[in-house]
Amino acid sequence: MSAPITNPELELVDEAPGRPVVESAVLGTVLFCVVEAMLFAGLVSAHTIVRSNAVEWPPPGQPRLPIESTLLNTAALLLSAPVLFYAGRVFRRNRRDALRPLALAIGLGAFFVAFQGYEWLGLLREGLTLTSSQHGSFFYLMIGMHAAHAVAALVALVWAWQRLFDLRLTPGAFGGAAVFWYFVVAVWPVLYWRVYL
Amino acid sequence: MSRAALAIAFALALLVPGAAEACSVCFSTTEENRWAFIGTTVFMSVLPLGILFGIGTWLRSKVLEMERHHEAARLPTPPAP
Repeated sequence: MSAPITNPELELVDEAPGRPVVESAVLGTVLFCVVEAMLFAGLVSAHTIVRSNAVEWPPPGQPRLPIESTLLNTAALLLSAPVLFYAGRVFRRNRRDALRPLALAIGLGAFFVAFQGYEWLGLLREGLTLTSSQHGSFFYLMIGMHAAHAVAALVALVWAWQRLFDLRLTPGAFGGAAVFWYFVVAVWPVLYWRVYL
Repeated sequence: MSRAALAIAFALALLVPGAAEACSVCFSTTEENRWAFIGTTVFMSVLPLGILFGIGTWLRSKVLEMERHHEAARLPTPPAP
């Protein structure tokens, strides 16, 4: 049996509908990210084994990946995470003020995706295609899979921004979109290390 | 063949696992490839357990935080001086 309530304000707390420990949207997104993490882990493992078996990597005749320019792009993506985190903190204090940092995070993410597309065009022109070699197959599969996740997470963030603009964004929805974007950011350095370097 | 002979044969087979490579790709051509197999096996085994442990720890911290919050709300308000 619970102790008698001595703080009258608590009566309101206890009678209020039970607040979940974690917002459902956040927990759902976390579980989805767990599944996706294993997908990327499988791809990274397969790539590691194939690469370790190759005499020369990238295979002869295949273009080298743009390591330096992608590093700059990586910086933009990594920067988007603290900006989004800051937007989350502002969101908890004053929702309206979170519009600008959230837009900045979306802008950095959009820059990353657009720059990736630009690099892909260059690589395709140089002869790196999905069927040109195992190098090409893994590159487009792994980086393409990440790009698909980045685009989906960006759509979620833009949706969150629109809801915030209309002052209809809930903390759970914001958290869910943010977790998805953090996942996209967290996976990228691993892919850059394994695929590009 | 008696059961004892079967048991001995089984025990001897355990001493030479290299001769029982059933998987056609589970052999290493190079040292790097062998380590890649070992490394990725460890990675794929540890990652899901690590993720589950991380989520469990995170949820536990959230529950404790909420309990602390409730406990603080239950404390009687001190009388005004």
